[in-house]
Amino acid sequence: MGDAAAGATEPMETTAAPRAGLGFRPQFCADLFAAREAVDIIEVIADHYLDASREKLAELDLLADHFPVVPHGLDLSLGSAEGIDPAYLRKMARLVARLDPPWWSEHLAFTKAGGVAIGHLAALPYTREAAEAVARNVETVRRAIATPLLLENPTAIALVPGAEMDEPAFLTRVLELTGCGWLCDVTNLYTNAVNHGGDLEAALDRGALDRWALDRWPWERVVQFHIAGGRRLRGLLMDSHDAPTPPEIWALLETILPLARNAQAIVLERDENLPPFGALLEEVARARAIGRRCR
Amino acid sequence: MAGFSILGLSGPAFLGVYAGVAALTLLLAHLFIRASDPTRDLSPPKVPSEPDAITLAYLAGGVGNVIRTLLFDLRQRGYVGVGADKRLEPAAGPQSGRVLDARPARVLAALRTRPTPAELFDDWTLAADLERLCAPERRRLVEQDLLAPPEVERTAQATLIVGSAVLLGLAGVKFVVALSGGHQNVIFLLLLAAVVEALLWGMVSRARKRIASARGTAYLAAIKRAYGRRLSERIGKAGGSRPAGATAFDAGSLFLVSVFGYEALKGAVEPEFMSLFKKSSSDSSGSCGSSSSCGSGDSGGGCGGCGGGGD
Amino acid sequence: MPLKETQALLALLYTDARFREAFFRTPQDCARQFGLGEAEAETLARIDPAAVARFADCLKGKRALDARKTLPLTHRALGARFDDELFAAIAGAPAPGRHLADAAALARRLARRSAEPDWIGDLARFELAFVAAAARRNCVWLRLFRYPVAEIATGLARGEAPGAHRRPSVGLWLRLFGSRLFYARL
Repeated sequence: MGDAAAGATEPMETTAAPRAGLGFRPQFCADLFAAREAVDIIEVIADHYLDASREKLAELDLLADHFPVVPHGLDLSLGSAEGIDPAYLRKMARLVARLDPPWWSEHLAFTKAGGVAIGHLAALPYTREAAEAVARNVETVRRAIATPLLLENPTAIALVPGAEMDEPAFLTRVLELTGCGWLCDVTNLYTNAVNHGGDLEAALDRGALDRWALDRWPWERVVQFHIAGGRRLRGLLMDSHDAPTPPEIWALLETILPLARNAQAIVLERDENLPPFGALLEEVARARAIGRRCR
Repeated sequence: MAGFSILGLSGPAFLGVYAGVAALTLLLAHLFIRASDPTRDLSPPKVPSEPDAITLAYLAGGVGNVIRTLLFDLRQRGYVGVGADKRLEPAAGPQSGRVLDARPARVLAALRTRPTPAELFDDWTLAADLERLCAPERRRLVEQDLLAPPEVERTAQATLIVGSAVLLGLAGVKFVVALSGGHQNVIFLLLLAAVVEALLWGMVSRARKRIASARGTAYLAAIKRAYGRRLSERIGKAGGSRPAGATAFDAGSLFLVSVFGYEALKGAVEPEFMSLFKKSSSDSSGSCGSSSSCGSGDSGGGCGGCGGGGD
Repeated sequence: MPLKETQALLALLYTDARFREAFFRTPQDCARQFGLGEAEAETLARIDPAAVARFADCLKGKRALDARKTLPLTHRALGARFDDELFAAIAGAPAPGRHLADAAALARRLARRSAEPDWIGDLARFELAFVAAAARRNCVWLRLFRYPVAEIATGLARGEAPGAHRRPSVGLWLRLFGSRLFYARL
């Protein structure tokens, strides 16, 4: 699985159905091991293990002994014009070396600037300069970590004025400049579409996606999908990862999957309001079934 | 250098040298015993989805631990009572008419004499019967290289002989030399020799009693790590209400008692019954006091958008 | 638009309520302070104040959620007041090591003020000690509490509502070379 499309500029098409798995949370560790056969892949939040105690690292090793594990970073701040924090990058490199995953991922966002740690993913301005800054940072990262890096599309709660392009064009430009694979967060796509770009659900129903048109996204670069549920907050969708994946996201995944010929995994994210583990497994099974049907 | 002899050193200088030799001997003994386990470089088997309580009980603490696990299960199901004199005795059971399997039935039979817990574990006929009844589990464990191989015991034995010869021999010769030279102040030497010999004895004794191989020990650690959170869930369940006849540690989770031992349940499950038992070798060393909800350190969230704030 | 300066301004805008207020009062003045030119300042001034406020709220929400997970018993004891106390303790941008820093700020605030219940400051310090010790390779900490805080924590964990009398207690946290954390009530 490892060498496939993740970082290559010309991804190889795969015929196997994508693996289906979920983001690891320690709360369901025991349930996960008791239902090992039902989960094909595990994603861990890299930041939880960068300064981890011996026990946490042992937990990570145990996971890696039983599942394919891919780390997912939160705070590398790949979009920062001031560059990457070398100490953070060293820790990430150590973690990736420890797991030897087929790929790892980070967000197309910035989390630090001017000495301030924002504490969450802030949207980049959709400009050529921002795309080039990401490319410079990815180059720095590549010198430390050879494992293919995937970039995830984040939600943009506050859009930065002065955009020179829209989100699909920006994402395509960044992936071209960096040669990275895409971690396509279906929920984030949908959330941004609804919050900023009109009602994607209605557009899907109409079979026309307006400016979110399907052919404007670089689907061939998708290596992994994220799916999650969120909620509405003062009229806006939030990717709060605290609810079951809603029908709109399943529908969008079914629409996208046949176009994403290089996709190798679908990962369910659930951080809060954890339901009984069986409910999570049902979502994973549904993702697997969609992956098989659409391949 | 020709005239130098450590036996000719003054008392304090010799004690220093002797302490160094003792430390080196203990270190080498540890390394020899460790190296004698050929499974130490093998990765443990995968953690099972449905761990077997009896197999794990045997691996974690041999037949004694199997008795503990079965006794706990029987107690949960109402088959075991505790008399006013703190002796174990058979109780009516759940009245379900269900026939017990051979192993729990054998443990229950052993309670007819109303033994104390110590007497129960000293009952060699019970131990021998259970050893025989656990033969299939034992065979599986051997096939997976999870039980300590005989080489460990042999090496431990040899290490004890050689180590004792060095430690006691050196101390003995110096003792004779000192006395023949008219020096009576040998008490520190004798004390040091006794302490070091006791440490060596303890190390060897632990190795000889070892049931799990290095691979088996790693396997148990992996199971504890994988299923540790289920233990706190079950303990919570034990404290809460549950349907009549239901047990907090049912067949699917009895293995938690096997691998974590009674110690992990003390204070939370059947406190009076648990207080009858001393800490056993298979009991975990619970070090987080009573505050099981503290200090998980799992405070980090994911990349989700809004943290649950707002409306 | 110079990205570095823009991002520095945005980072402060998202995390500092006072700067946010100043920016939306006089956006161009604030932008200029970050070395942005007239045109760039004008562009940035078009940022949607409501969207920025929403994002800032989200950041606060995430901090509150993390703090609740870091100090779950303190959260249980304080209930709805937890977030108010936290936000009063963590004004401004997040400090490095946010999870622990925010929890520590809250624990300090609760220990300083005479909040209800009386033992809440002790409880926050008690919980924080476990998390802080878990994040270190080596620590030997002896903490003195005015209340039997371990009993209070155990009661809360069981879902009880403890009403403790003042009785001093001491806790020892020991961790060496990244080994397992040892805690003892003395």
